[in-house]
Amino acid sequence: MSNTLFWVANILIAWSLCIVLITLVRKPTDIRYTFLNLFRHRRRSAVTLLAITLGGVAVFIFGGFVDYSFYALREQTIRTNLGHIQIYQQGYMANGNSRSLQFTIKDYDSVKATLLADPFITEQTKTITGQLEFSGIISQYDKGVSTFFAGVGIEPQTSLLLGALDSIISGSDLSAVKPLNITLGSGVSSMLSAGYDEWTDLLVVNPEGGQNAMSAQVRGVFRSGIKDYDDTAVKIPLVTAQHLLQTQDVSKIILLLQDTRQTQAVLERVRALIKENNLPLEAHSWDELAIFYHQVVNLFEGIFLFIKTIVSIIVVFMIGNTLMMNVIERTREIATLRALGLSKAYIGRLFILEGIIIGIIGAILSVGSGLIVAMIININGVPMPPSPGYTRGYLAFVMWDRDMHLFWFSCALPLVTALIASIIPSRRAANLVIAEAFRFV
Amino acid sequence: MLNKTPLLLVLWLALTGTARAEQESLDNWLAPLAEKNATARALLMMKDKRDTGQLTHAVSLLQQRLIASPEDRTAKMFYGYGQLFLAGDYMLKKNYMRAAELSKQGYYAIDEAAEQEPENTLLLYLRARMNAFVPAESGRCVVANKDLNALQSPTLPISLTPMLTLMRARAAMSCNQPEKAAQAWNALRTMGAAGAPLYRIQSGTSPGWTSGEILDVLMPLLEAQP
Repeated sequence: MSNTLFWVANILIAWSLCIVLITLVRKPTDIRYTFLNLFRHRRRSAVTLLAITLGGVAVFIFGGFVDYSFYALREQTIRTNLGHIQIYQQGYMANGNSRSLQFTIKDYDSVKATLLADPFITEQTKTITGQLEFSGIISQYDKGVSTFFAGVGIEPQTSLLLGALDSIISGSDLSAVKPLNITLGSGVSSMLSAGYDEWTDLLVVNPEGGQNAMSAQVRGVFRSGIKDYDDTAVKIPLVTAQHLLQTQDVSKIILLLQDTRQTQAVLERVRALIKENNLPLEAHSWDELAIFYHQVVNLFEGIFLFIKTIVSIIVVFMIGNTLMMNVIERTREIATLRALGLSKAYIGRLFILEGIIIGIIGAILSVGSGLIVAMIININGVPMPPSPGYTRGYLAFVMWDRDMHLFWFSCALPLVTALIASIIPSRRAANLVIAEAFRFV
Repeated sequence: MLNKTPLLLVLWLALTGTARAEQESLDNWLAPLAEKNATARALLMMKDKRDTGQLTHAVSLLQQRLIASPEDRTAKMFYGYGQLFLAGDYMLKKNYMRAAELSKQGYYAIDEAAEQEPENTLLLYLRARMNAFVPAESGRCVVANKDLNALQSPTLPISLTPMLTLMRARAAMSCNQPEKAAQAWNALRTMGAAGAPLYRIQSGTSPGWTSGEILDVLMPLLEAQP
């Protein structure tokens, strides 16, 4: 649907520009008359242009804001331990992640070495790290409190970039030097009343079904901003988690890339490597795993479509009204032109041309003003409340330099709506009965 | 979503300047070492935290040093410092993603340098010096407090006492411990001429290296480098 609209709009824009160019070459005086007619009532034309420009600027700014929000949410999702590409043991996803310790990768080191041996993957990748997922009960016996947790064994150094947006709110990140130190999500920390340097006890069930326990010191408390995650997450050094669960395996291998746009290319290469080496693994991109991200994106896209529709309707009415007033005011003038022998099509084209010209001026003003407003907003950003499911707000910016569609839409909206709005007035002007038009007061 | 607040902690780092007299003192002491010692050279380059080119050069110099000599904890400590300064620079450029990555890596390097050699009180001092002055939002005051408690033993030279007291005051303020902070401020006030210049630094940027720090912390560490 949106693709069809895109092409229809492109055809209308091309047609409009052709009309202007042809008129400019064949009858340049018509362009001059168009401008003179448009600015016969300067105040009315200025109000119309203002309405078009405000609409265009609103769409430009909101589009840039949505683009930034999508970008920020995407990178936040990726850098909250999801990564760009995840590699699992075959069958892990089919089992709905419910038996994560039964579907582990046995030879993590050799798989990592295979990936790093590929020059394309190495060039595109920031970090490759293994993680071991498990769950259990964490307690502070002194205070008589305990809670369930979703644990993840991570490599302290390679996971720094992967969890770059998990802010430490007290203490430090995990350390390779102190393997018995762990970090807690802010929710877990609150539930246990356990802060920096305090000791906790972890109770887990290993892959064979046996129980194991260990004491660990809290090294830091982190907050990702995602409440559900912060309420259950506990990070432990990978070697410690493997020791606790009596395994050498990892649940998944995560690749964080230099650039999100390279995800598909690297994913294809990883899949090819898995096939070449007959590895019992499966690779998935962040796009397949980030369900929440897609839900938020769909919500925003729905809102954006609604706003675009409202703005388009307002612009159509404003331009339509201006041109209709022009037709009414110039009824006798049109009758004179018709009496002099000008065709209906020619009269109609004059009004269409007025619509196109006002649309072009509106497009230029929309993009120009939009850029100025965006630059002003981007000096300090706009504080926003938390998104659905998040616990902290963020600073929003207008991202206008990475999406050509934003410019296209800000130009297309005034131009196409102006063209559509000029159809009825032009038909009315063209179909005036000459004798009646002369009697019009 | 990308949150600016926790990243603000590194913003001040790019803005902290060093007084001219202190810079000259640092120059006088480190310049003779700088020819042969990459860490000293990097430290001199990091004097002006607003000079991105010099900062980047200093960090890459320290990175090369660490590749050649991974056991050099002093280089690792200042590599961490450099990354935090760079994070502040990226923060100013509104590249929050890179700023977040660099600040994580910076603190990690600082922690690792201090924890790999826990008996080295000078490294612990340098970690505490960074953590005591970063904004409270960073949550590093708890680490500073722990380090400062460990530094209470009389193994450190007396010349460092005023700065240690200032660090205690600032860390206590960040950790919302007003009584402890008031005690430290009082102690600093009663130190007379030694404490007076530091007493004025009740908030904001960290002071430049004092001559006591240069002589009793930086020089011994740099001269003892492998």
